[in-house]
Amino acid sequence: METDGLRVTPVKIAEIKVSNSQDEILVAYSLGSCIGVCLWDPVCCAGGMAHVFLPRPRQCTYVAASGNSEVIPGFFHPQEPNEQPGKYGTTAVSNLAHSLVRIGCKRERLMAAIAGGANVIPGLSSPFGEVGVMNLKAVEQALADERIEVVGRDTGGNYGRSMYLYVSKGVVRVTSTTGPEKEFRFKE
Amino acid sequence: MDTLFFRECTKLGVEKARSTLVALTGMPCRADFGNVKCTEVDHVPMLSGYLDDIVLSSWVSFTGEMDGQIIILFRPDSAHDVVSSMVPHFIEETDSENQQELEESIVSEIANMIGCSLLSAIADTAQMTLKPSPPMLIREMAGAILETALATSYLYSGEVFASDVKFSLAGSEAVFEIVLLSSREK
Repeated sequence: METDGLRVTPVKIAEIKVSNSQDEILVAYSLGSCIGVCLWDPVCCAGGMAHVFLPRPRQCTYVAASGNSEVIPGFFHPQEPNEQPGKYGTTAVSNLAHSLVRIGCKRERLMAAIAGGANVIPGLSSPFGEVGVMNLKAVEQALADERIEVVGRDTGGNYGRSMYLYVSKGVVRVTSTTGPEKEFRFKE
Repeated sequence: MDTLFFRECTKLGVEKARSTLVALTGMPCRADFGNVKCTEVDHVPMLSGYLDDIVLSSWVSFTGEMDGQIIILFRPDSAHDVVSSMVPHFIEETDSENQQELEESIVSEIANMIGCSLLSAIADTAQMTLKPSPPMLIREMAGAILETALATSYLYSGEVFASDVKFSLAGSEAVFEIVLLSSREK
């Protein structure tokens, strides 16, 4: 991956990072079932990334494929008071948007790109489905709730990905173990 | 389960796998242990040190009185080096596609030996009944494998144990990590 001499800042599991730096790349390495969520403001040329690990904290009502709703104690990890908000799909998007607003972005201008949500271990599944699929649903719902348009996505499948946000350019690149690199531009 | 228990079971398991490998190949084989640890969830994808690199790994899950997953990650080039030592002539004479198949087959066998021996050691030591799934060989980004396994293991307790192991076989070294994601005992 070409970094053009720019500073590369990793966004680890459950982290949220924002930047308005002209020389920074935010990167979520080796996304499997996790989702990398990038938000970007085309006026400020600032953006951020969340590395979502799980769909939601424990004690949430989950609607199973059968249509039955149930609370699943112990299935999801409990959300600790000081837990990173980037950990869950249900909390990451609003926190990322809020962090961007704090550095001068406007919520209504934000656009999104997402990557990940794969199942790289075929046959590995929870009683409620694949974690990658659940993560993806949670993130998409959170983006819809925030009325943020998704302009680029590379999700699902059974292979790993790394996601790079070139902050000043508003460009997202996704590399994977299969096929060529993909590129999304927030504005043409 | 604690780190000491994991260390003992890993040693027993790897030693059993080592003796089986010696018996099967007739080649000298030594196993050295590095860092045995119980690690934080956030550090797991970086355990291998090859976050973004594609590694060959073996994955097996188990159920019973305890649930969990065992993942064995061979560092890049380790698998190839070991296979070259074991069957040098075959490697020299075979095209790259068949080499990869052979590499995967041999690594899969070695990893299965280690995984099954480790699981037996845990079951014997803790006097538990554990039932393994069929093992699976995966060629993927190390971090993506670990991250996916870890996310699913959150339905368990979130305990993660890891150990670096170095297998020296006939002059070649295969460095790999054994990662155990386990539940609390039921």
